Amino acid sequence: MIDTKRLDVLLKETLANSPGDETELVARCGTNRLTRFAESVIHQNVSEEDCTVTVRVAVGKRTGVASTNRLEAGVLAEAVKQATEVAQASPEDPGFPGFQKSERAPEADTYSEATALMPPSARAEAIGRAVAIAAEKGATLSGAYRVSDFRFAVMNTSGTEQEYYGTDAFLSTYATDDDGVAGAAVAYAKGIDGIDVEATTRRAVDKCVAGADPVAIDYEPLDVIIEPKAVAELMSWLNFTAFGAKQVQEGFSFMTGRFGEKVMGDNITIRDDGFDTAGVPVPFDYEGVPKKPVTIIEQGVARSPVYDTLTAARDGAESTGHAGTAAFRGGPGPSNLFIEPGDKTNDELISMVDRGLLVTSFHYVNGLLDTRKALFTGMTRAGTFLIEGGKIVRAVKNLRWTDSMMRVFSNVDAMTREREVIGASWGAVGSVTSPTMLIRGFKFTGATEF
Amino acid sequence: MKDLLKQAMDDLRQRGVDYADARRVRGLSEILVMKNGTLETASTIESEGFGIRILKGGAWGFASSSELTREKVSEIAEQALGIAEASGTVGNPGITLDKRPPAVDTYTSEYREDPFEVPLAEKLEMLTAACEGMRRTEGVKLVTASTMNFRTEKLFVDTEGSAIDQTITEAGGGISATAVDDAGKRQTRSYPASFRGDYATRGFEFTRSLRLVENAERIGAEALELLNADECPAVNTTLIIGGTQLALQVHESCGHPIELDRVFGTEASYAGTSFLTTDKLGSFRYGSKVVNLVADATCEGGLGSFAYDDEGVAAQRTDIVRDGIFVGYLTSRETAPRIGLSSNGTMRASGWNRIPLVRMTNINLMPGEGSLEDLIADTEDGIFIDSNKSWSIDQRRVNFQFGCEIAWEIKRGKRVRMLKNPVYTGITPEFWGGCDAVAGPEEWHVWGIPSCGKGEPGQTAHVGHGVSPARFRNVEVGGKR
Repeated sequence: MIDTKRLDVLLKETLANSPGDETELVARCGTNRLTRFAESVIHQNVSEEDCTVTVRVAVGKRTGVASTNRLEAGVLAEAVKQATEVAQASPEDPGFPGFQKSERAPEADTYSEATALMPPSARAEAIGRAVAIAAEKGATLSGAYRVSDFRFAVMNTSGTEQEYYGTDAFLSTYATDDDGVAGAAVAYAKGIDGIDVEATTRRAVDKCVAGADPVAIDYEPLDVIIEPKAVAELMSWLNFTAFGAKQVQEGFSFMTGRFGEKVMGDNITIRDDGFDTAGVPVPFDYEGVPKKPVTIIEQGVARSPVYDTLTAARDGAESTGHAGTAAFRGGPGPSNLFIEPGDKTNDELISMVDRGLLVTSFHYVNGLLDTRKALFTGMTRAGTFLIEGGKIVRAVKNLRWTDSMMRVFSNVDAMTREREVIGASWGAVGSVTSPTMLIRGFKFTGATEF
Repeated sequence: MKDLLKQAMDDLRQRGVDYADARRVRGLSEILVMKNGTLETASTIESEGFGIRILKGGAWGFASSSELTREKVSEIAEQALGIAEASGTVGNPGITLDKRPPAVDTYTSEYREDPFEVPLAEKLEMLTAACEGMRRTEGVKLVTASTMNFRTEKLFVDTEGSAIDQTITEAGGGISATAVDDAGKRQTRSYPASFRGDYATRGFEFTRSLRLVENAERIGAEALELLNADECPAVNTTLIIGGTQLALQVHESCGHPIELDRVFGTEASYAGTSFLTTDKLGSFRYGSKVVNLVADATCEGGLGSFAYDDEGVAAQRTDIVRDGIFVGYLTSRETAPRIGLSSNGTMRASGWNRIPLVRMTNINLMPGEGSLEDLIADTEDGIFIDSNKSWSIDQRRVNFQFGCEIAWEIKRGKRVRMLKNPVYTGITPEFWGGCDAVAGPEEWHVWGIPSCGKGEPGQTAHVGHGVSPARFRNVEVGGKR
């Protein structure tokens, strides 16, 4: 991997020699290592080291972007030239605010050396322990164990210079029995010391064992307890369709035109905080703007989307430090999202259900049916259980649901005190920290065969 | 670099690995997205590097780097070897590969007009004109026109003597218009397909053939018309599915479940498994007798076409469903021998930093006869639906639900009214079992989808689906819930 000093010299030379009116360079360099296992054996085991520089050049109010991982002076200069040519050929964007000078982002607790140094043998050893735990209960285990370490740096001709070193670790475990009944659990943290391999595996195995002999039930609106992994799957689609200012400005978000209005229940507060160590911190964004805490939903009231500099300028606001890559502008999005917890235990939630379901996770959620109503669909997966009389009585076959997230999150009756950090399986640092929720009258709309 | 990688293969062979291969890949993408006359994305992305995959003691290891130096090749080979050795410590999978002769070849996909040589100004002019065309309709508030071009240069070498150079060029684009009323209600129409359009393994001549500008005004007008259309009713009815939506139906309910690695559980914890278990091969009724599906990596211009897969196996055409019976999988050198077959060449990696996985090529529904209008004329009562809006299917690919942009009610063989927010749902074999007609070759088109996701780490594949519109009986169609 290119050493830090050589890269810094290269970046500064490139910035100084850029012919554009303004230039921004974003470098992401690092290593991703992932071990995948299925049927209790390791079947894929990979490592990747890469360093990509994305150049954004502004000529007046026209911008162009070029990205390369060939880190030689001539190649980066060529990328600048390409980006400049694109900018020159582009129509003006009257709303382009220019590149912002940002103060140095505060230090954040983002790095774990043990994670960066973890060898493949240690991942294999951890997976071996997990497989043994599953075998004790007659289950086979699938999943993935990933560790990543990276350096992320942003600089621009307005004087912004940011960098941080980060790591993260992700484990998924998926236990299955001979009939294909599955139980799932995941763990995500800044580093491997936050990954409890045994506990995560036991949760998956326990779900699998409890899930034996599932029965079909009629699909109808039911009270449902959804665990953090399932909540995070909903939140990731809300991140994509609703919580960013681009989606709001384009009228795509359910929050468009509803700020200051009640859009969810009184007990729902959703916020993003890049520096909150209860999740996995991310100190600044792809424009080098330090993260600001943003309360998106406060006690059910829509308060604010997250912004990058372009969307902030359109609204006369300030960037909140949530820009994504310029190589493909999907708009700003949350990176370290939190749902405020309740005051119950898991058992107390179950005791509050006369007839309903406990759902471990969802599969293939899609949030594009009607984004203005946040109408989503998806399937239950890997641990769906019937609750009767305040007790889990048996496993049930998986169901399809189709419901509005505004309605769903207006019907949250109670939540747990405990929260769980849920992350992505590959590379993109970002997490959702969520409690388990009891939702009344969740709309199930179909059933499958298992 | 070729000599360095060949040398690495020689060294690994001498060190007694079961098998190794190396790929050096340079990927180049150009993405232009214009929204309301402003360039939202204007970027070129270059990514180059190499990866070495080693099978040792029956277990895999893979390492990759973007640094193309002699020292790095040695280092990455050592890393991959160490990873393979670590893999073998947990219930060694005992992997073996099928036998096939080494291939030495060079291939360049055909195109008439290099999309990277077409002046940027000309592309922007096309997108600008398309945006203007859509905005001619009052009430259309948001318009998008985009084009994407891709070039992949791949070198493959292995310890068995293969050495293959391939250069593949792909191009395409699309437009969409969103009409919004005073209450903020909105409807979107896309052309030629939703989610950035249609793509092919061809040059810019394909993008030109889409005639984005010429269709722009119609799409804008349709968006407004759709905004004022009636809601699609909830009804069990006959459904005619247009090409762009049927391509995705094939993709989700046939393409993914026939991936043999998925059948064997390697995606179990993530994308899921498959209802098409190996005991069903050759006997299971997947669909009605008019349903014939093939996997065809040789399909001219298909977005899933190539000369060799990323294990050096030549591109092939394989029957998947014949007269409604499930008869074939997408396979690899590792998975095919487990069912007594040889690889049919579908292992593909999304770049230098990813291992190949069993991926769709062009999964094609073979045409029947007649036109779309013939199908409609032959339908007493039903709904014609097209242009995907949302998609969801369970982890074994059984229960699915699709939302589409647009539908038309059919009465006595005629389209009688436009419908908005159509959704349909079904169970895969029941649904394909209800297929009673597929339109003919004159309607057949290979739709290119450049965004098929699979695997951890995530990979995006470019795949194709040749389809003609088809008719399905007894389908549960519903409006929004």
